[in-house]
Amino acid sequence: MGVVSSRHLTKSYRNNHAIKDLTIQFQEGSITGLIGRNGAGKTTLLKLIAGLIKKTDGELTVLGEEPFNSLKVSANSIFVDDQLPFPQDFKVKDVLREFSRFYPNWDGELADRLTSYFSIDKETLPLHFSKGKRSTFNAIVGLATHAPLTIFDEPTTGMDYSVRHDFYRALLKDYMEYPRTIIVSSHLLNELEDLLEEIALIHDGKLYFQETVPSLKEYAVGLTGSTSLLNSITQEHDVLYSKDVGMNQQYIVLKDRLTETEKDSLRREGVKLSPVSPADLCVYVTNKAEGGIDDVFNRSETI
Amino acid sequence: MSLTEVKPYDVVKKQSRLKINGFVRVFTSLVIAHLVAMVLSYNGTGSMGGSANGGMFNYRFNLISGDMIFIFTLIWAAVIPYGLVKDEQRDIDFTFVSNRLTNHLSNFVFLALMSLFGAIMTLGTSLLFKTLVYLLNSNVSVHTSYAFFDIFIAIAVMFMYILLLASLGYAVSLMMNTHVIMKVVVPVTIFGLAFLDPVHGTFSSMFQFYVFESSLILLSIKVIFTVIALFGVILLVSNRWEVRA
Repeated sequence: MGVVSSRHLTKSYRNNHAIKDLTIQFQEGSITGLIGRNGAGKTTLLKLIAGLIKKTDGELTVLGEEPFNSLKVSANSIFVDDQLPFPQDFKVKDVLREFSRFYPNWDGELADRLTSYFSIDKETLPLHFSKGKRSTFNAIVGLATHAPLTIFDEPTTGMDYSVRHDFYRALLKDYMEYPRTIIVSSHLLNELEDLLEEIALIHDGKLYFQETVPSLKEYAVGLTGSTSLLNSITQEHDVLYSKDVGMNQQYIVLKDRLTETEKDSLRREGVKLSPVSPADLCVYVTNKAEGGIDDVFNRSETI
Repeated sequence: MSLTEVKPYDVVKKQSRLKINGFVRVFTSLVIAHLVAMVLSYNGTGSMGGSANGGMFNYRFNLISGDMIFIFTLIWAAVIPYGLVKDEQRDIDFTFVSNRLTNHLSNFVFLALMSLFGAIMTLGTSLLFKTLVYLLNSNVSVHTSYAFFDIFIAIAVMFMYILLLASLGYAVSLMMNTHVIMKVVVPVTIFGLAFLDPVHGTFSSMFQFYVFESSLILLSIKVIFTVIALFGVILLVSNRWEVRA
């Protein structure tokens, strides 16, 4: 039984399903990446877990309780996004003081060290921060809370490259020191990959897969070869992605269900086999089945 | 990692303090409102004049009172709750630890403390105002003087009325927050009812019920029961509302 588990969870706004029939589990003491495109339902799912919004249908249990309106879930979890509202007159030091009053696990020393490292002046108002600085500050608060269930919704919005890397590093170090359940959502997996233990990919409000990072690295295989040759294979397998890479040459990504003998025979026929990184895989499977942005501009074909 | 158990009582206490720390503006706004009220009532809130001995003497009394200050306090009390239930303000509780119940209860604690502050301030300002008028004018006859017990009664009565209006303001603000359309419908309904009051008398009978009560104990009972009923309905209705949606 996970810290968070849902069965056939649905959340709809009028006629629009933000989350549809989603069954997922987040294990205790694990760090999971929730990956999906814009509008895939990541934020909705995280807000449901944090108990901020109400499910439409299905089951959802967080820390053994229905999370919506639950004081226990609220006290043992923190939901951090780029908007995290504070009283408008509160300075950084006031916000930190309030967090220390509300959360018993609050690590004031960590908060102090991180704010000074990221050169956040404690006398300033978070309201006046730039987007990136606000995200940095919210992320610091999210880390120092040490909540048993820590949820970061797109924590790196607006952060520059080096701050992003520092944040991921801080997250990893703090997680190793205080193991707890952490969920980080992002539309981009590249930079997160080394940090995560598990990856859940959601698309159109549904869970596409939930795999550990090592098994995800073997989830798919990329084949490059002549179109005619690959066509015979595509009919028998799940093709996740395909792309023309030159005259009669194609690159296709398959779910890796090929046996070693199949792979050997492909190699003999001149097909190049390559591993597919989890980040690329996530992009491939969530792309529209046919065509890409190029086809929008490629008018001759549609006329 | 072990879970923390929380009691609603502790959370309400923490949230109430958060509100007092976070809404200092509420208290400074009353001071400004009182300054305005003092300026407006400097020349008297009522006057009467006349002449005697066939026009030999003309006299004119200006009545100086703290009524305007109290009326400004009441308006302040009715308006402040709107700021308290605005989405951005309400969501702040949920940045920290909260659920619907503790959110409303801590708002209520805040409104009660605010009402007490308003009552004490109103008495203080009106005393200050009368003293100023006395010092700045030569021919003033003083008609009020307070014994200790009178001060207590005055504060208690004002507290009850301010709390009543603050609670009504809270309920109306919540109603206005349910839907964008309600932001228009609710004020229009209230103004409409006020205009048609001579016909149906809803407001005047409500007014009589509370304002013409001469016993402090009965007034307290009426106000406290009204406030409890209002908050009961609010809790029942809003318990399933979402936040940060």
